[in-house]
Amino acid sequence: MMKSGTFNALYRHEFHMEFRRWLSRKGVWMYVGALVVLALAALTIWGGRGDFKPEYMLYATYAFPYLVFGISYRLVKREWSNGTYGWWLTLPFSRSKLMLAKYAASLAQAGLTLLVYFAAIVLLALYNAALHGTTAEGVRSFGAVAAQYLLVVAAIAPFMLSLGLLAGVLVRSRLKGISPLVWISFGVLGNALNWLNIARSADSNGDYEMSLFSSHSALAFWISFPVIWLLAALMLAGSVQICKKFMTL
Amino acid sequence: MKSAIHAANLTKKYGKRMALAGLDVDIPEHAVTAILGPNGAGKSTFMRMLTGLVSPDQGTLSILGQYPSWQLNASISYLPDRARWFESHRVEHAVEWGASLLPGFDKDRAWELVRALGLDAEMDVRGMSKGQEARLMLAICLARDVPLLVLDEPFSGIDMISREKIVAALIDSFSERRQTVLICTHEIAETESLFDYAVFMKDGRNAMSGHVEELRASRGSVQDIYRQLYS
Repeated sequence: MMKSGTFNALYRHEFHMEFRRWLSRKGVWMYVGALVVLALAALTIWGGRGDFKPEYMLYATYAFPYLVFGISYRLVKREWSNGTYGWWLTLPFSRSKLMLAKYAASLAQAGLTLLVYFAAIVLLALYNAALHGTTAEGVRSFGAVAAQYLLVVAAIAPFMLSLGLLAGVLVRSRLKGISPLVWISFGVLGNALNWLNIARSADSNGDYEMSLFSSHSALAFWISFPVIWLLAALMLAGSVQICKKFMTL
Repeated sequence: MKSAIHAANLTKKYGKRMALAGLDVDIPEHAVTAILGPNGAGKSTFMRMLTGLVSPDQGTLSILGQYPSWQLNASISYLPDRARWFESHRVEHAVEWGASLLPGFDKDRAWELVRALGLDAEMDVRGMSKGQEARLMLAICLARDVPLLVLDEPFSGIDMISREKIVAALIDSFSERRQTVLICTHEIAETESLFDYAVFMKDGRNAMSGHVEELRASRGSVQDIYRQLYS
């Protein structure tokens, strides 16, 4: 008799595998710690100058769609690189369930990474405000821009996660000839935040600001989100079919 | 003889290479069967077909009266060929993994096996020798109370002490349970005593099969037959 909650168990297994890997990498945490110290020092020294804007810290967000792709791609790839695909693919669960568990785990990992990053950025901005007396308007304006970056990355993340899973299974299938198309999509669509520069509009001072909530092009972005998610669902379904019928083992 | 596994005219091609070329075989129920043959004879392809990892191009395969499928894997404990264990696990995680995902997994028995095979809960898979890792994987497989146990090369690349521990664990396990067991191995000398039935594969076909006692009486030991067939 099959136990209940098996999806939850599969999900936890996938999630914890990566979590334990990161916890075991002491060097990575030292590197992160050093970056935080550097950021604090930079804000302490230069944070009060007029030409320094905490928004600059958000530029790292441009790499997030690629990072998100890497998270799901790795979850599939590691089954072959670690020699565990035989255990994974002979579990008494449908391929849909196996792939959905990987998708859910990578979504959770990506969400957690995004939240931690944005929380760190906001804390650094608050530190800067407290130290150099930035106005409440400055903090509010930074929060609004950060929220828009977060929204864009969160919207594209399901697509990039599906693309990562697809890339992972394609390379182990009889359809690997179409892998280059996936990698081209990765390069072009992963650059989503640069594409969104078209949404920027100059204010009366000639400064540019992101305006997903107010510009005339905002509607197009809101409409594009469900389309992106639909494509993500189709790619996930395609990955499951490849896993069922086209794997070369 | 009642068959647990029935294969008729099984064919599988990888590109131009024929892995199975019309394999016909019946594996008896509640017996320990050796699947023997040199590299490239089609043993692992056959074992993978049992769990649905690989589909035949032609032929029919019936396992416990059903076609291979993910649902049927609930009744099969399978040790994959050249498998490794999840590198970020400790032994306790491996046992939890089995308990939460594998039907028929007996946690108490898993801990007994883990201890009998010289492992402990805190051991990290990343720091294990190949022999220790093989023993852990075998413990996970043997802890399942399912009708069919399929072990593909459980001794591959493992030191003598680990091999002896694994054989001892297999003997204990087989004496306690009425399972159908398939073992694919090249270590015939150390494992011959385990087998009730043997299938000798050659070029993707069944070159010879039969009850080990009858084969011994007519043609000598399993090792002798192996030499006669393949040298």
